[in-house]
Amino acid sequence: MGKEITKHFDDLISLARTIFIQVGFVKDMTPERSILRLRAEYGQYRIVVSELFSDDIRKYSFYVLHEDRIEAGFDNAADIHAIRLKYGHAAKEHFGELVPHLHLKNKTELFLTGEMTFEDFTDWLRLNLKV
Amino acid sequence: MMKVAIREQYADILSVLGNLEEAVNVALQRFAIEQITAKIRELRRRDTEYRNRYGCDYSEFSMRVAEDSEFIGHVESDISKLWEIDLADWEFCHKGVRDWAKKLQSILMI
Repeated sequence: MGKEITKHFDDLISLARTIFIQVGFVKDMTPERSILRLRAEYGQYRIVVSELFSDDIRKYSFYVLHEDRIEAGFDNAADIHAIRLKYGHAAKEHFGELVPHLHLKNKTELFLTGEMTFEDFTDWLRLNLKV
Repeated sequence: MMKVAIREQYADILSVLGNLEEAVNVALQRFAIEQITAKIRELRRRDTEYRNRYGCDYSEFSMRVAEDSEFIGHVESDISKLWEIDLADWEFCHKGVRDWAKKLQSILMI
């Protein structure tokens, strides 16, 4: 795991510990890839986080759930719904492209976003959820 | 070349058995092979778990979520709404097997 990514993951975990409780995480690496999976509790909410560095690309998911319902989920997966929202009729030309987006209301609403960091996610939680 | 300290008792035994440096290198090679093999086994196990869970292999899954909205509907209603998190871990496992296999090959060729 590159030193920079190791530090990035350590910083993320430290920040999580200052805001959430019951923080549990798994870090894993191969010679080419690094992943962090983190779970925590935030008041009545469950936090599920994943960051993968693979082929020099960062792929993230920052989700907050209430019981089994997804209150909000930020990720940059190459999700066809997000690709269509961003490119409309030209979506086909962008299949497989990573598109940062936000799922709300148990994934019934979708919005495009800028690239998110874990810090951005925690800021969003503070502003939008009461615990 | 890197210098590391080894316990004297091991150094004594290995010196009696032959060339110390060669013995340490062979021991390290065996340890690395054992560790990498265990990593590959674990990543393959998780890759298979995801394959069973989603009913297709990694390549098909990553392609379909990027192109097929009906497939996403099926996944979210019948399997998991958190498929993006599984997808990242699945990529790590699937490609990770290749990463470690490559490393294993390079170690075996030393």
